[in-house]
Amino acid sequence: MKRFLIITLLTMTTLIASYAQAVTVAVFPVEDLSEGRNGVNFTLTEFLQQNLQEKGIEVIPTDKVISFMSRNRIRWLGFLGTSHIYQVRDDLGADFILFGTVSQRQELPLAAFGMVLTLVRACDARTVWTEVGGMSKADISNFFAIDEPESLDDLFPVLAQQLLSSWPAVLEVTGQNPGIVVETSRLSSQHVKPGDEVSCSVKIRTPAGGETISQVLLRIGEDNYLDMVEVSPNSYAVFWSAPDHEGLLPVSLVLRCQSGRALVFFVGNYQIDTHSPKLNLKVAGKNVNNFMAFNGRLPITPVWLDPEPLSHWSLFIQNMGGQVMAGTENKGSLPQRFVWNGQRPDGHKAEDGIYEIVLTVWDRANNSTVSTKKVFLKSTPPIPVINAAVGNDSLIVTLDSEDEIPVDYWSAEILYSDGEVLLQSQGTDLPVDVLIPFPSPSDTRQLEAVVCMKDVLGNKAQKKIDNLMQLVNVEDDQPEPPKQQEWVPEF
Amino acid sequence: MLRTINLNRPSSKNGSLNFNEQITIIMNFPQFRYFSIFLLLVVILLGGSSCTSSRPSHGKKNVYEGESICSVALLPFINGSRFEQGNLIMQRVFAAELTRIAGIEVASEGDVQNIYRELRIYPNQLPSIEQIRVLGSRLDVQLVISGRITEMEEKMGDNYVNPVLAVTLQVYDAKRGKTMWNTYHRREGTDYRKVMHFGLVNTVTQLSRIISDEIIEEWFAEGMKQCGK
Repeated sequence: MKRFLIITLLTMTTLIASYAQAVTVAVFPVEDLSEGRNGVNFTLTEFLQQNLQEKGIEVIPTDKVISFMSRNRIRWLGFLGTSHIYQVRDDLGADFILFGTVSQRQELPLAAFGMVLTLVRACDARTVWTEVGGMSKADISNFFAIDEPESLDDLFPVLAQQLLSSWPAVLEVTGQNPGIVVETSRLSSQHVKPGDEVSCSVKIRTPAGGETISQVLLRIGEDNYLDMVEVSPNSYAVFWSAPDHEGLLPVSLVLRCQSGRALVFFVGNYQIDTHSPKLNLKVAGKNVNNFMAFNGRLPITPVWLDPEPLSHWSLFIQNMGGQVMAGTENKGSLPQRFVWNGQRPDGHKAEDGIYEIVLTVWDRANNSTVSTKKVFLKSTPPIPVINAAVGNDSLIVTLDSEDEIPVDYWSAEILYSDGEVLLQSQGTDLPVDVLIPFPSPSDTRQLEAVVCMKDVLGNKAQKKIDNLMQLVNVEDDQPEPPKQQEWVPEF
Repeated sequence: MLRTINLNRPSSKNGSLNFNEQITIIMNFPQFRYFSIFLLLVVILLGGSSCTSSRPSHGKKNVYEGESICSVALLPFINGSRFEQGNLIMQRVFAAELTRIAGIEVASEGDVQNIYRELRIYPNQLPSIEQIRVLGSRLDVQLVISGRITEMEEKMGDNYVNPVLAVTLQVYDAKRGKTMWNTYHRREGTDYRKVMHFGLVNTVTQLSRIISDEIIEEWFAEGMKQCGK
């Protein structure tokens, strides 16, 4: 009688145990990080499969798993998204999915092996068991080095067995009800002007055995609900116009289930922007007659009055005829500074004159602002004007410039033809008279003059007069215009 | 061996033994010698194990007012070390340990990646507050955790490998998207040495596991409520 009871008890225990492990597991190819981000270890995958089969667990063949991966375009190993986990259950009939990651696998400097195993229940995508371990050759030291691992091949079975030793005795196939998965959600655009069209589209997956959705709504702000339209199976969309008032509105997806439960998923915010960007242009030139003047290199700095992110911008420099001399445009934020080097698109110097800088910016809601600034380009040197006249006891040389651009600095050097300097003078204001004492009558050497000028923009000029006295007698030396002797017919 | 300890105590005037003499006599007993050796070993062992008392540094910004933590999402960890795939190693280990020792459900890495793609967040980029809220809502998690590996290497020691790992974790409230607290922890394999080579941690995987456990324990010690409790 006692023997019968023991046999019955043992049989029942075995039956319960075998029922507990009567599960199907899909062992996904083991990710091998020691081989890089896309590394895969099929040896270890097979080892795990065999080990599970020895436990009496039904294992889905590798080729079926790989075929599933290629069908569903699964590129990464070591994990799956919830939708794919449900798909594994539906397509492969797996109750559980075993993911493995080899964290390290190296022979040198010491053989070492590390691994992470994770078992996920396919019906509710929950992790039911996980184990981590790392083992080095240095971790195993036996008496007289008997049975110590020699290489990596000796290590990994030891570690894998060690990890699998904590495999759950009973695996519950049924878990929680599978949750509704929002596979994608898209809110467009997130920055709008009043009246602009805003749209939201979502894709939902309702797993078998899960709750049934009765209504798909979109909540905008606190209490504004829109019905979403099913555009294709499980895909919903809705369009609406942005209100007139400025502000940030939260958007949430509300799924009303037949059970009466409502699931809320935050989709994002959208901003209604009624204001254009506010900015000015600042150029680093010299203020001449209320124009910013420069001589070839013009730094242009946008100055924000109220900074805000931009979607794109453009900057053009054009002459008064509307011809574009230089320009650039880009997406995103403005550079801190632009520099125009005073050249045309063909690389030649632009002519002196007035140019207009036009900077246009668009914010994320597409509100635009145009900032302009006129500048004066003067890259040619000043033209010195030198006149001489005879005074009472000296020669008066008058210096001036033909340009409207003020002179920053001038210098004049009067010297004899053999190099002896008679007089040096310099200053900042023009016109100016330079008085030169008359040389002695016995001195027959010619008087020369070298005049240098630099305008406030930095343009420089130098003029040399070989015979200064010629300027004094210029009217005397000029031949009289020939008198007209006869009538000439005019054509 | 006879040891004398001079404590500079004066001899008693009444002819009785002074302190030095008493000590000398006591140390002549063989039992005391064995006891002193045992005491020395205990001191060495305690000294060795005291090296492992280094705790993760923990900086709180906000107090979590919610219920016990049952679900979290791990953002892709950022690798600031030269150890290849160091971020992935730590991320996988940390996720496994959160589930194993804390009973916390960790959102699928695949789901996090899908949302990253959808929100156009680069793997090495941290999401904005709004993006964290979207992640938290879609994955139905209470906390979102980001991580950065600041140091990971395997230094070669005298016939052993000494792994080094330093990690910074930032924990966000999934509902509000705000940072709740951050934790920095650094450990070396030799920190766990007991005597000679005993206790040494020789692999970065094992060190990642121990560090993860220490961080999780620290979080619970700091007031994070365990799921179901």
